[in-house]
Amino acid sequence: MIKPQLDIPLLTKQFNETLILAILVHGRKHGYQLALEIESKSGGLFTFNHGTLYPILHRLEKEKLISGVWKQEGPKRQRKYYTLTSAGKKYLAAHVAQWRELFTQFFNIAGVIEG
Amino acid sequence: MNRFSSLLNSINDRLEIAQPIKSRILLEIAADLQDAHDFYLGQGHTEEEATRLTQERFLLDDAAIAELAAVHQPLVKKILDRFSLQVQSRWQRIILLLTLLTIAAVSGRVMMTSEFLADASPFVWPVWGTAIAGLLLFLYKFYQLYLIKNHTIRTLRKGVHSLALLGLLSLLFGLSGYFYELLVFGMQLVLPGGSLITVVCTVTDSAEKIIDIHNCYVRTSTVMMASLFVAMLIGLLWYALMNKIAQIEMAEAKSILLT
Repeated sequence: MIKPQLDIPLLTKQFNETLILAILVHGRKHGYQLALEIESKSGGLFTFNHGTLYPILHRLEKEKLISGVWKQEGPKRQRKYYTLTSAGKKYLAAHVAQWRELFTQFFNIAGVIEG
Repeated sequence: MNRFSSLLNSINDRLEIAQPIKSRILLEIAADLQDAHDFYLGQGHTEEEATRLTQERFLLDDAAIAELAAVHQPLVKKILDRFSLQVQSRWQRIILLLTLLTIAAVSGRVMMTSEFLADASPFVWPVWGTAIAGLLLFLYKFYQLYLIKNHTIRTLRKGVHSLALLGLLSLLFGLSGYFYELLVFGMQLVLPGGSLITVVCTVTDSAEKIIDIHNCYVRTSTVMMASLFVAMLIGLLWYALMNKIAQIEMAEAKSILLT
Protein backbone atom coordinates (compact mmCIF):
# COMPACT_ATOMS: atom_id res chain seq x y z
CA MET A 1 0.00 0.00 0.00
CA ILE A 2 1.23 3.50 -0.83
CA LYS A 3 1.71 5.59 2.32
CA PRO A 4 0.27 9.09 1.97
CA GLN A 5 2.68 11.93 2.70
CA LEU A 6 1.28 15.42 3.08
CA ASP A 7 3.43 17.84 1.16
CA ILE A 8 2.65 21.47 1.95
CA PRO A 9 3.38 22.94 -1.55
CA LEU A 10 1.24 20.26 -3.10
CA LEU A 11 -1.66 20.72 -0.72
CA THR A 12 -4.15 21.79 -3.39
CA LYS A 13 -3.39 18.79 -5.53
CA GLN A 14 -3.61 16.46 -2.56
CA PHE A 15 -6.78 18.18 -1.42
CA ASN A 16 -8.42 17.44 -4.80
CA GLU A 17 -7.10 13.88 -4.67
CA THR A 18 -8.74 13.31 -1.28
CA LEU A 19 -12.02 14.83 -2.49
CA ILE A 20 -12.09 12.55 -5.54
CA LEU A 21 -11.37 9.44 -3.48
CA ALA A 22 -13.99 10.45 -0.92
CA ILE A 23 -16.67 10.89 -3.59
CA LEU A 24 -15.85 7.47 -5.03
CA VAL A 25 -16.62 5.85 -1.67
CA HIS A 26 -20.30 6.21 -2.62
CA GLY A 27 -20.00 4.21 -5.84
CA ARG A 28 -18.61 4.32 -9.36
CA LYS A 29 -18.52 7.67 -11.16
CA HIS A 30 -17.15 9.07 -14.39
CA GLY A 31 -14.94 12.16 -14.51
CA TYR A 32 -17.60 14.78 -15.03
CA GLN A 33 -19.91 13.26 -12.39
CA LEU A 34 -17.05 13.50 -9.89
CA ALA A 35 -16.51 17.19 -10.59
CA LEU A 36 -20.23 17.94 -10.36
CA GLU A 37 -20.66 16.03 -7.13
CA ILE A 38 -17.71 17.71 -5.45
CA GLU A 39 -19.16 21.07 -6.40
CA SER A 40 -22.69 20.27 -5.28
CA LYS A 41 -21.67 18.57 -2.01
CA SER A 42 -19.47 21.51 -1.06
CA GLY A 43 -22.23 23.99 -1.87
CA GLY A 44 -20.12 25.39 -4.70
CA LEU A 45 -17.13 26.04 -2.45
CA PHE A 46 -14.82 23.53 -4.12
CA THR A 47 -14.86 24.26 -7.82
CA PHE A 48 -11.98 23.39 -10.02
CA ASN A 49 -11.23 23.26 -13.68
CA HIS A 50 -12.38 19.88 -14.94
CA GLY A 51 -9.23 19.68 -17.03
CA THR A 52 -7.16 19.24 -13.88
CA LEU A 53 -9.26 16.22 -12.98
CA TYR A 54 -7.77 13.86 -15.57
CA PRO A 55 -4.12 13.91 -14.44
CA ILE A 56 -5.28 13.16 -10.88
CA LEU A 57 -7.64 10.38 -11.97
CA HIS A 58 -5.07 8.74 -14.21
CA ARG A 59 -2.35 8.91 -11.57
CA LEU A 60 -4.64 7.39 -8.96
CA GLU A 61 -5.53 4.66 -11.45
CA LYS A 62 -1.86 3.99 -12.17
CA GLU A 63 -1.23 3.70 -8.44
CA LYS A 64 -4.13 1.21 -8.28
CA LEU A 65 -6.03 3.34 -5.76
CA ILE A 66 -8.94 3.54 -8.19
CA SER A 67 -9.79 1.38 -11.19
CA GLY A 68 -11.28 2.56 -14.45
CA VAL A 69 -13.68 0.47 -16.52
CA TRP A 70 -15.03 1.33 -19.96
CA LYS A 71 -18.76 0.92 -20.54
CA GLN A 72 -20.60 1.18 -23.82
CA GLU A 73 -23.45 3.68 -23.59
CA GLY A 74 -25.53 3.65 -26.72
CA PRO A 75 -24.25 2.71 -30.15
CA LYS A 76 -21.49 5.32 -30.41
CA ARG A 77 -20.66 6.39 -26.89
CA GLN A 78 -18.18 4.90 -24.46
CA ARG A 79 -17.68 6.07 -20.89
CA LYS A 80 -14.93 5.43 -18.40
CA TYR A 81 -16.19 4.80 -14.88
CA TYR A 82 -13.94 4.86 -11.84
CA THR A 83 -14.33 2.84 -8.66
CA LEU A 84 -12.37 2.91 -5.43
CA THR A 85 -10.16 -0.13 -4.86
CA SER A 86 -9.53 -1.67 -1.44
CA ALA A 87 -6.04 -0.12 -1.49
CA GLY A 88 -7.71 3.22 -2.30
CA LYS A 89 -10.02 2.90 0.71
CA LYS A 90 -7.07 2.31 3.05
CA TYR A 91 -5.16 5.15 1.44
CA LEU A 92 -8.15 7.49 1.83
CA ALA A 93 -8.58 6.59 5.51
CA ALA A 94 -4.89 7.29 6.17
CA HIS A 95 -5.02 10.50 4.15
CA VAL A 96 -8.11 11.80 5.95
CA ALA A 97 -6.38 11.10 9.29
CA GLN A 98 -3.44 13.20 8.11
CA TRP A 99 -5.72 16.04 7.01
CA ARG A 100 -7.43 15.94 10.38
CA GLU A 101 -4.08 16.15 12.13
CA LEU A 102 -2.98 18.99 9.87
CA PHE A 103 -6.12 21.06 10.49
CA THR A 104 -6.04 20.32 14.22
CA GLN A 105 -2.52 21.73 14.38
CA PHE A 106 -3.52 24.61 12.15
CA PHE A 107 -6.45 25.61 14.39
CA ASN A 108 -4.33 25.15 17.47
CA ILE A 109 -2.30 28.05 16.16
CA ALA A 110 -5.01 30.02 14.36
CA GLY A 111 -7.37 29.57 17.30
CA VAL A 112 -5.00 31.52 19.55
CA ILE A 113 -5.25 34.53 17.26
CA GLU A 114 -9.02 34.11 16.94
CA GLY A 115 -9.45 33.89 20.73
CA MET B 1 -17.89 17.76 -36.93
CA ASN B 2 -17.71 17.63 -33.12
CA ARG B 3 -18.40 21.07 -31.58
CA PHE B 4 -15.40 20.52 -29.32
CA SER B 5 -13.03 19.37 -32.04
CA SER B 6 -10.77 22.44 -31.65
CA LEU B 7 -10.36 21.77 -27.92
CA LEU B 8 -9.79 18.05 -28.49
CA ASN B 9 -7.37 18.81 -31.33
CA SER B 10 -5.44 21.15 -29.06
CA ILE B 11 -5.14 18.40 -26.42
CA ASN B 12 -4.23 15.86 -29.11
CA ASP B 13 -1.43 18.11 -30.42
CA ARG B 14 0.08 18.89 -27.03
CA LEU B 15 -0.26 15.50 -25.37
CA GLU B 16 2.88 13.60 -26.35
CA ILE B 17 2.05 10.06 -25.38
CA ALA B 18 1.72 6.86 -27.33
CA GLN B 19 -1.48 5.60 -28.82
CA PRO B 20 -3.83 3.94 -27.91
CA ILE B 21 -3.68 5.66 -24.50
CA LYS B 22 -4.02 9.06 -26.16
CA SER B 23 -7.16 8.00 -28.04
CA ARG B 24 -8.67 6.61 -24.84
CA ILE B 25 -7.99 9.89 -23.00
CA LEU B 26 -9.56 11.91 -25.83
CA LEU B 27 -12.54 9.58 -25.83
CA GLU B 28 -12.94 10.02 -22.08
CA ILE B 29 -12.72 13.81 -22.28
CA ALA B 30 -15.05 13.94 -25.33
CA ALA B 31 -17.74 12.03 -23.42
CA ASP B 32 -17.39 14.34 -20.39
CA LEU B 33 -17.51 17.42 -22.63
CA GLN B 34 -20.79 16.25 -24.09
CA ASP B 35 -22.22 15.68 -20.60
CA ALA B 36 -21.12 19.12 -19.44
CA HIS B 37 -22.61 20.69 -22.55
CA ASP B 38 -25.94 18.91 -21.91
CA PHE B 39 -25.79 20.08 -18.28
CA TYR B 40 -25.40 23.74 -19.29
CA LEU B 41 -28.19 23.41 -21.86
CA GLY B 42 -30.38 21.96 -19.10
CA GLN B 43 -29.65 25.04 -16.99
CA GLY B 44 -31.21 27.19 -19.71
CA HIS B 45 -28.08 28.41 -21.50
CA THR B 46 -28.10 28.85 -25.25
CA GLU B 47 -26.17 26.45 -27.50
CA GLU B 48 -23.29 28.95 -27.90
CA GLU B 49 -23.14 29.74 -24.19
CA ALA B 50 -23.19 26.05 -23.26
CA THR B 51 -20.33 25.36 -25.67
CA ARG B 52 -18.30 28.31 -24.39
CA LEU B 53 -18.85 27.46 -20.70
CA THR B 54 -17.94 23.82 -21.31
CA GLN B 55 -14.75 24.78 -23.12
CA GLU B 56 -13.78 27.13 -20.30
CA ARG B 57 -14.27 24.48 -17.64
CA PHE B 58 -12.37 21.78 -19.53
CA LEU B 59 -9.34 23.83 -20.43
CA LEU B 60 -6.27 21.63 -19.95
CA ASP B 61 -3.32 23.95 -19.40
CA ASP B 62 0.25 22.96 -20.21
CA ALA B 63 0.94 21.90 -16.61
CA ALA B 64 -2.04 19.52 -16.63
CA ILE B 65 -1.00 18.14 -20.04
CA ALA B 66 2.58 17.61 -18.81
CA GLU B 67 1.30 15.85 -15.70
CA LEU B 68 -0.97 13.62 -17.77
CA ALA B 69 1.88 12.78 -20.13
CA ALA B 70 4.19 11.99 -17.21
CA VAL B 71 1.65 9.52 -15.80
CA HIS B 72 1.47 7.59 -19.08
CA GLN B 73 5.05 7.69 -20.32
CA PRO B 74 7.25 4.70 -19.45
CA LEU B 75 10.91 5.37 -20.23
CA VAL B 76 11.51 2.42 -22.57
CA LYS B 77 8.45 3.16 -24.67
CA LYS B 78 9.37 6.84 -24.78
CA ILE B 79 12.74 6.00 -26.36
CA LEU B 80 11.30 3.44 -28.78
CA ASP B 81 8.37 5.64 -29.85
CA ARG B 82 10.63 8.61 -30.44
CA PHE B 83 12.90 6.53 -32.62
CA SER B 84 10.00 5.33 -34.76
CA LEU B 85 8.71 8.89 -35.10
CA GLN B 86 12.08 10.28 -36.15
CA VAL B 87 11.90 8.68 -39.58
CA GLN B 88 8.72 10.17 -40.91
CA SER B 89 9.09 11.32 -44.49
CA ARG B 90 8.61 8.92 -47.39
CA TRP B 91 12.14 9.49 -48.75
CA GLN B 92 13.70 8.91 -45.34
CA ARG B 93 11.81 5.63 -45.08
CA ILE B 94 12.83 4.49 -48.57
CA ILE B 95 16.51 5.31 -47.98
CA LEU B 96 16.46 3.56 -44.60
CA LEU B 97 14.76 0.51 -46.11
CA LEU B 98 17.19 0.29 -49.05
CA THR B 99 20.24 0.69 -46.81
CA LEU B 100 19.10 -1.98 -44.40
CA LEU B 101 18.09 -4.37 -47.19
CA THR B 102 21.50 -3.96 -48.89
CA ILE B 103 23.37 -4.66 -45.66
CA ALA B 104 21.08 -7.59 -44.88
CA ALA B 105 21.53 -9.06 -48.37
CA VAL B 106 25.34 -8.77 -48.31
CA SER B 107 25.81 -10.13 -44.79
CA GLY B 108 23.13 -12.77 -45.36
CA ARG B 109 24.99 -14.05 -48.44
CA VAL B 110 28.20 -14.42 -46.45
CA MET B 111 26.45 -16.18 -43.60
CA MET B 112 24.75 -18.75 -45.79
CA THR B 113 28.11 -20.21 -46.89
CA SER B 114 29.05 -23.57 -45.34
CA GLU B 115 32.51 -22.38 -44.18
CA PHE B 116 30.93 -19.59 -42.22
CA LEU B 117 28.60 -21.83 -40.25
CA ALA B 118 31.07 -24.72 -39.87
CA ASP B 119 33.31 -22.70 -37.53
CA ALA B 120 30.53 -20.80 -35.80
CA SER B 121 30.50 -20.15 -32.09
CA PRO B 122 27.81 -22.07 -30.12
CA PHE B 123 26.38 -18.64 -29.23
CA VAL B 124 25.11 -18.40 -32.80
CA TRP B 125 22.28 -20.82 -31.98
CA PRO B 126 20.51 -18.63 -29.39
CA VAL B 127 20.89 -15.80 -31.91
CA TRP B 128 19.06 -17.91 -34.52
CA GLY B 129 16.52 -18.70 -31.78
CA THR B 130 15.73 -15.02 -31.32
CA ALA B 131 15.47 -14.70 -35.11
CA ILE B 132 12.88 -17.48 -35.28
CA ALA B 133 10.95 -16.05 -32.31
CA GLY B 134 11.03 -12.60 -33.92
CA LEU B 135 9.85 -13.96 -37.24
CA LEU B 136 6.97 -15.86 -35.64
CA LEU B 137 5.93 -12.77 -33.68
CA PHE B 138 6.10 -10.66 -36.84
CA LEU B 139 4.01 -13.18 -38.79
CA TYR B 140 1.40 -13.21 -36.00
CA LYS B 141 1.18 -9.38 -35.96
CA PHE B 142 1.18 -9.31 -39.77
CA TYR B 143 -1.72 -11.75 -39.79
CA GLN B 144 -3.59 -9.61 -37.23
CA LEU B 145 -2.96 -6.26 -38.89
CA TYR B 146 -2.97 -7.03 -42.60
CA LEU B 147 -4.93 -10.24 -43.17
CA ILE B 148 -7.79 -10.37 -40.66
CA LYS B 149 -7.47 -6.60 -40.03
CA ASN B 150 -7.99 -6.81 -36.27
CA HIS B 151 -7.50 -3.11 -35.50
CA THR B 152 -8.69 -3.14 -31.90
CA ILE B 153 -6.94 -0.04 -30.60
CA ARG B 154 -6.20 -1.46 -27.15
CA THR B 155 -4.34 -4.51 -28.42
CA LEU B 156 -2.71 -2.85 -31.41
CA ARG B 157 0.78 -2.47 -29.87
CA LYS B 158 0.63 -5.68 -27.88
CA GLY B 159 3.75 -7.70 -28.60
CA VAL B 160 5.34 -5.17 -30.96
CA HIS B 161 7.83 -3.88 -28.42
CA SER B 162 8.71 -7.49 -27.58
CA LEU B 163 9.96 -7.67 -31.14
CA ALA B 164 12.37 -4.80 -30.44
CA LEU B 165 13.45 -6.54 -27.24
CA LEU B 166 14.19 -9.71 -29.22
CA GLY B 167 16.49 -7.62 -31.42
CA LEU B 168 18.29 -6.38 -28.31
CA LEU B 169 18.48 -9.94 -26.98
CA SER B 170 20.12 -11.04 -30.20
CA LEU B 171 22.78 -8.33 -29.75
CA LEU B 172 23.26 -9.42 -26.15
CA PHE B 173 23.85 -13.04 -27.23
CA GLY B 174 26.24 -11.81 -29.89
CA LEU B 175 28.28 -9.74 -27.44
CA SER B 176 28.28 -12.55 -24.87
CA GLY B 177 29.52 -15.00 -27.54
CA TYR B 178 32.18 -12.56 -28.71
CA PHE B 179 33.67 -12.08 -25.25
CA TYR B 180 33.27 -15.76 -24.39
CA GLU B 181 35.27 -16.82 -27.47
CA LEU B 182 37.96 -14.24 -26.69
CA LEU B 183 38.18 -15.45 -23.11
CA VAL B 184 38.40 -19.13 -24.11
CA PHE B 185 41.09 -18.35 -26.65
CA GLY B 186 43.01 -16.21 -24.18
CA MET B 187 42.88 -18.91 -21.49
CA GLN B 188 44.31 -21.46 -23.94
CA LEU B 189 47.31 -19.22 -24.56
CA VAL B 190 48.14 -18.46 -20.98
CA LEU B 191 51.27 -20.23 -19.86
CA PRO B 192 51.30 -21.86 -16.43
CA GLY B 193 52.02 -19.16 -13.87
CA GLY B 194 51.40 -16.41 -16.45
CA SER B 195 48.51 -14.01 -16.91
CA LEU B 196 46.26 -12.99 -19.82
CA ILE B 197 48.36 -9.86 -20.33
CA THR B 198 51.35 -11.99 -21.41
CA VAL B 199 49.33 -13.49 -24.29
CA VAL B 200 50.20 -10.66 -26.66
CA CYS B 201 53.93 -11.38 -26.24
CA THR B 202 53.71 -15.16 -26.67
CA VAL B 203 51.09 -15.32 -29.37
CA THR B 204 53.28 -15.28 -32.47
CA ASP B 205 55.70 -17.90 -31.19
CA SER B 206 54.44 -20.64 -33.51
CA ALA B 207 52.44 -21.17 -36.71
CA GLU B 208 49.91 -23.17 -34.70
CA LYS B 209 49.17 -20.12 -32.55
CA ILE B 210 48.56 -18.02 -35.65
CA ILE B 211 46.02 -20.57 -36.87
CA ASP B 212 44.37 -20.41 -33.44
CA ILE B 213 44.17 -16.64 -33.75
CA HIS B 214 42.58 -17.03 -37.18
CA ASN B 215 40.01 -19.49 -35.78
CA CYS B 216 39.26 -17.18 -32.90
CA TYR B 217 38.67 -14.30 -35.32
CA VAL B 218 36.33 -16.47 -37.39
CA ARG B 219 34.34 -17.59 -34.35
CA THR B 220 34.00 -14.12 -32.83
CA SER B 221 33.17 -12.44 -36.13
CA THR B 222 30.61 -15.16 -36.91
CA VAL B 223 28.67 -14.62 -33.76
CA MET B 224 28.81 -10.82 -33.99
CA MET B 225 27.82 -10.82 -37.66
CA ALA B 226 24.91 -13.18 -37.03
CA SER B 227 23.65 -11.15 -34.07
CA LEU B 228 23.92 -7.85 -35.95
CA PHE B 229 22.17 -9.37 -38.96
CA VAL B 230 19.31 -10.71 -36.82
CA ALA B 231 19.01 -7.48 -34.80
CA MET B 232 18.86 -5.47 -38.01
CA LEU B 233 16.22 -7.69 -39.59
CA ILE B 234 14.11 -7.67 -36.43
CA GLY B 235 14.52 -3.88 -36.26
CA LEU B 236 13.30 -3.61 -39.83
CA LEU B 237 10.23 -5.76 -39.12
CA TRP B 238 9.53 -3.78 -35.95
CA TYR B 239 9.77 -0.51 -37.83
CA ALA B 240 7.39 -1.74 -40.55
CA LEU B 241 4.82 -2.80 -37.93
CA MET B 242 5.19 0.46 -35.98
CA ASN B 243 4.47 2.48 -39.11
CA LYS B 244 1.35 0.45 -39.87
CA ILE B 245 0.19 0.79 -36.26
CA ALA B 246 0.83 4.55 -36.30
CA GLN B 247 -1.33 4.84 -39.43
CA ILE B 248 -4.19 2.92 -37.78
CA GLU B 249 -3.91 4.98 -34.58
CA MET B 250 -3.89 8.27 -36.44
CA ALA B 251 -7.05 7.24 -38.29
CA GLU B 252 -8.61 6.29 -34.93
CA ALA B 253 -7.63 9.60 -33.31
CA LYS B 254 -9.01 11.50 -36.31
CA SER B 255 -12.31 9.66 -36.08
CA ILE B 256 -12.58 10.54 -32.36
CA LEU B 257 -11.93 14.20 -33.10
CA LEU B 258 -14.43 14.38 -35.96
CA THR B 259 -17.40 12.43 -34.56
